[in-house]
Amino acid sequence: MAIQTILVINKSGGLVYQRDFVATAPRLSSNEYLILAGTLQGIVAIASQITPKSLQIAGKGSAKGGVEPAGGAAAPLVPYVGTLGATTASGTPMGSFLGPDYFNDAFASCNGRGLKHVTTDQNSLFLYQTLTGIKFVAVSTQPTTNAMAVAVAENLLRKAYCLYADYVMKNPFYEPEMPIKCELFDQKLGVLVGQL
Amino acid sequence: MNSEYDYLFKLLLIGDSGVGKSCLLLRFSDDTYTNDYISTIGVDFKIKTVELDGKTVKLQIWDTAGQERFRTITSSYYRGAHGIIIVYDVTDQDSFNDVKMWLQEIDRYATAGVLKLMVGNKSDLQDKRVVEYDVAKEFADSLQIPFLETSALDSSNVEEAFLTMAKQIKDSMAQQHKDSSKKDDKANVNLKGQSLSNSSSGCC
Repeated sequence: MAIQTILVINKSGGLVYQRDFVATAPRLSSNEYLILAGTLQGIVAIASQITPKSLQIAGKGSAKGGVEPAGGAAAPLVPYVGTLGATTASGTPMGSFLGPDYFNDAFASCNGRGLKHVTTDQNSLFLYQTLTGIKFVAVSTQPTTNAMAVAVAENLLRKAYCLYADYVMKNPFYEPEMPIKCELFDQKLGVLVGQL
Repeated sequence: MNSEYDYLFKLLLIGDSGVGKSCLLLRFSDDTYTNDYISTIGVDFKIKTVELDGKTVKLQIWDTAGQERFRTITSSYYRGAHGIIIVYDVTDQDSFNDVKMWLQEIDRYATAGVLKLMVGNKSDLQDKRVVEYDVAKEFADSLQIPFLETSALDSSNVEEAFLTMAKQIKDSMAQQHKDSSKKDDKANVNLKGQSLSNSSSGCC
């Protein structure tokens, strides 16, 4: 299974980054991708309202403890997947400025009651939401409902978020909430997905 | 990759059910008109690419459902909008009265300082008109919101409504940049020590 497309959606539901990683990816026009991003934004909002009220209140308590993942017992922890299923060919450190890897422990999902995973007959879509409301979306080439695959996807997208923090937010020419045009981010994301 | 456009602006269309939000948008994006009434479900998107000051700008317009039963969902679409267009129907007094309610919704859900525009649609139906231009204009002026009367049928003012908004957003972004760089200048001036004498004389 490979990653077909990665999208970054800003907090207002606008598509700020879209990149295909396989040549066979269906060519959607940029407008169609924008509509996809906006629709996803709406679905995530509605999905979080489907969650029963009692669970929402319980979720709020654990969200507070989300800063220290071990604290809230109800917080769903995503297991850490180090090499993303493949061994790094070279011994060069892969991570951001923080260390050899981006992070190295299990983490609490900030997306406690929203949409995380959609599967069709052809492919799967994974969604990682940050505390600030940015959504990282990955579309795979094959459908999967495997819990391990979902964990791998969440790890991958969280690493993409680290790259975003390092190479997009620290770029002085980047305008927040606007389309991302950062060469370094492109490069690093390519390497990250290539690892898979 | 994303190199096709430099800016992405989120515009939102709100207003009572049946005032012609979707028709207005259809006229702007596809330059067509339909007399059929199809209720929007949740939200609909139209995207228009325009050139502003040599930059490619995509206007992503979120056409929300006006019907009461979609209200809980539509509120979540206000987040991060750059501009909001409030539409009423010049042949329907109630839709004009509800503009106040829509403005309250904006205050509650949208980002502070979002650009607003009030639009009276169906201006071609002169014989059925109940909301006079002057009344609406006065109301808009009192709230300092720009106001236009449009007609999706004969396409008057439609392009203007959207493009004025896009231009304003672009300008306000450029303004923000200027402001932030000005602040830096001030910080530099402080380094020269001129403000120090001021602070010492203010002591009592």
